[in-house]
Amino acid sequence: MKTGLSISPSNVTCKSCQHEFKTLLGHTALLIACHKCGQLHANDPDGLKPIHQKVKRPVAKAIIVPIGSKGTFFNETYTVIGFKCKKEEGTSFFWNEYTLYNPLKGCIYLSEFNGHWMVLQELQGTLKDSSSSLTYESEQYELFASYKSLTHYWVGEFIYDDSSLKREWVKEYIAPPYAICFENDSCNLSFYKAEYLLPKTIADTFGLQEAPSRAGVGMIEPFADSPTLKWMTRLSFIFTFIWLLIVIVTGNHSKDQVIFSSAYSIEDSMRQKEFTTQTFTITNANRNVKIEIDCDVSNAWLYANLTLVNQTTGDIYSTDLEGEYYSGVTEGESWAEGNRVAYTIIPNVEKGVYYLSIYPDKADNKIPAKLQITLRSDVFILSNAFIVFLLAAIYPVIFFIRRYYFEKGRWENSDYSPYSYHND
Amino acid sequence: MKSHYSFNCPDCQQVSEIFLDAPLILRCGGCNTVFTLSQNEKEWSAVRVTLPRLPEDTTFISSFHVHFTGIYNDLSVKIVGHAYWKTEHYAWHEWVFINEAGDEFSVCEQTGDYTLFDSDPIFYSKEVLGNKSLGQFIMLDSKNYMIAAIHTFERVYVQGQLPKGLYNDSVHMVLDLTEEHTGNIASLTLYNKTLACFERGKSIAADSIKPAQLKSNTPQITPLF
Repeated sequence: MKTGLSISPSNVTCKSCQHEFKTLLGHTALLIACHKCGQLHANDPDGLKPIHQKVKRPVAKAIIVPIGSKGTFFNETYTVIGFKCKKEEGTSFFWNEYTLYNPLKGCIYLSEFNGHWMVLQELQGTLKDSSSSLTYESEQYELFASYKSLTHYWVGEFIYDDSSLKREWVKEYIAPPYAICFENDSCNLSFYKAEYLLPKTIADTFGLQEAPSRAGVGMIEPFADSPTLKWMTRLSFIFTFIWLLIVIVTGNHSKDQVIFSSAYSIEDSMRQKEFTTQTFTITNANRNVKIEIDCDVSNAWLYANLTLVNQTTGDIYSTDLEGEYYSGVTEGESWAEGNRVAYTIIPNVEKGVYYLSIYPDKADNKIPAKLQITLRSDVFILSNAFIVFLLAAIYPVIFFIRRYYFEKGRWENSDYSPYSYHND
Repeated sequence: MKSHYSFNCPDCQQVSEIFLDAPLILRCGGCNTVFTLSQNEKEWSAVRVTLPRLPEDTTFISSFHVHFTGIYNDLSVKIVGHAYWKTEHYAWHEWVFINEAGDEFSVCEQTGDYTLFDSDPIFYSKEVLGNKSLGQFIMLDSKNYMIAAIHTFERVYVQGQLPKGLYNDSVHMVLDLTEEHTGNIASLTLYNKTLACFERGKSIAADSIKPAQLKSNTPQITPLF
C-alpha cells in the first residue's frame, strides 16, 4: 500500500464499453463513472467493479468545466473530479453539479442551472430544519424549495459512493446571494452554504473562453448592479427623515405675513376698468408673495388681472386669477362646481413699497360681486416640498418596482412563493 | 519514543517494534500477516487474524504515512499505524500516533476533514441509541449530539499497529455525531454483542501536524490535461 503526496493520473478501463480514461485520485475515489458511457464502478482496492444500475449516457457538451480543471475558491486550489447531471423527481428540472476536491480541504461543489452558478461548501455543526425560514449567522433564510433529487448521470470520480442510496431529499433556504441547503439521504444528513457566482467568475476561474449566458432569475442571484434592498430601504428612510426635517424647519421659519388685504364690490360698471389700491410695504427681502382672491359669486364668474407694482423701481409682477361658482338641481340632484378662491405665488419679490393695479371683469348679470384680495409675504409652499420629494423618490420607486418584478421572477419556480401569478 | 517491546514474526522472523499497549493488532512488515497480540502478565501471545489486504499498488492521496515522524503541539510524534475503513458509501483513514510523552492519539480523515481523537472512549450499553435516527439528537456525556450519518462497516485494512479495542466483536453500525453549538465531531460505534463505544474528536487542520519527511504538507494532484 502506498500513500504519497503526489498522485499522477493513471489509466483505467471501463468494464462496460472498454473506454480507457484517466483517474486522478487513485484509491481515494470510491466511485468512478466512465467518461464515455457513464457506467458506474465501485473503485474497490481489488479493481473497478461495475455497479449494475441503469444510468444515462453522459452529454459531453453539458460539461462546461472539464474534469481535471483547476480553480481557486476560498483561497484554495480545487480540482474538478466529478460531474453529475441531477434532476428533480417528478419534474423536468435538470441541473449540473461539479465536485471539486482539495486533498486537505475536502470537497466543494459547483451547481449550475440555466447559466446561474453557485458554489457550495459543507457546513460543520448542527442546523435545525424549519418549516418556512431559518436563521444562520444572524441572517434569515426563506424556504425556497423542497424536493427529491435524482442523479441522471455521473462522470468522473467521487470520494463517496452514493449510487445505491435512496433519493436525496433536499430543502433550500435562500437569502440572496446565499442559500442554506439541507440534503438528507438514507444514511447521511448534510448542510451546505451556497454562494452565487457570475458566469464570468466561472470562466475566469477555470480559464474558459466564456460560460453560457444566464436565463431567467437565479435562485440566489443578487439584484445586480444596484444597491441592496437593505441599503436602499435605509437610504429611503434617511432621505424621508431629512426631508421632513427640512419641511418642518422651513415651515417654522416662514413668516407668512399679511401685507395687504382689502375687499371690493365689483359692479357691472367696473368691468374692464383698471383701478389701483393703496400702497403697502413688503419688508421681507427676496421672499415669495402669495396673491389670493376670494370672489363672493354665485352662478357667475369674476376675473381679475392683478399687477404688483414696485412704486420705487417700477418693477411689475403680473398675474391673472379667476373665481367662479355654479350650482343647481338637475333631475332632482343638486350639484355644484367651480372655486371662488384662486391664488398664485410670485417668487423672489424685492422688498419695497408696492401697490396693486387691478383690472377686473365679470359676468354681465347686474349683480355686484365681492372681491377680497389678500397678499402674504414669505409663505411656506408645501407643494414645492412635495415636488422635491417626488423627484427624489423617482430612483427609489424605480428600484423597488424593478426589484419587485425581479423577486417575482426569482420565486416563479418556487412552491413557496409569496407572490401571486394568477394574472400573468 | 522508545518501543515497549519487539515482536518476532513466527512466519518470516521479521522483528517489529511495538509502541502500543497490549492488546493490539499488528501487521508484519515482512510478510503482511496480521496478528492480534495480547499480554497476560509478562507473557505475550500472538494470534493470526484474517483481514483483507490492500494490493501493493494501492495509492491514496495522503499527507501521512506509517513510520513518519514529525511535530504536533510542540512534541515529537511518530505514526505507528494506519487503518483504511471502507463502508458501503464512504471510506476514511485513521492514523495512530504516539508522541514523545508516550501518549497515543489518532487522526481520522474523511473527504478532507481531519479529526483528532485523543480522549479515552466512553462505553455505553448497546441500547444507548434507542429509537433515535438520522437528524435527531442524542444526549451523550452530558452533551447534545446530532446524528449526522450512519455507516455500516464493510472492511478495514491495517498497516503497522493499531489498538485492538473491541475489534473482536463485529460492528453493527457507526454513527457520525456533531455536537450542538460547538460543531465538534464524535462517533458512536455500536457493536453486535458487547457495548457501544463513544469517542469525542475535534476538528484539526491537517497541516497542524508537521511530518518531518514532507517539504510541504499539501498533497498535489497532477492535472489530467
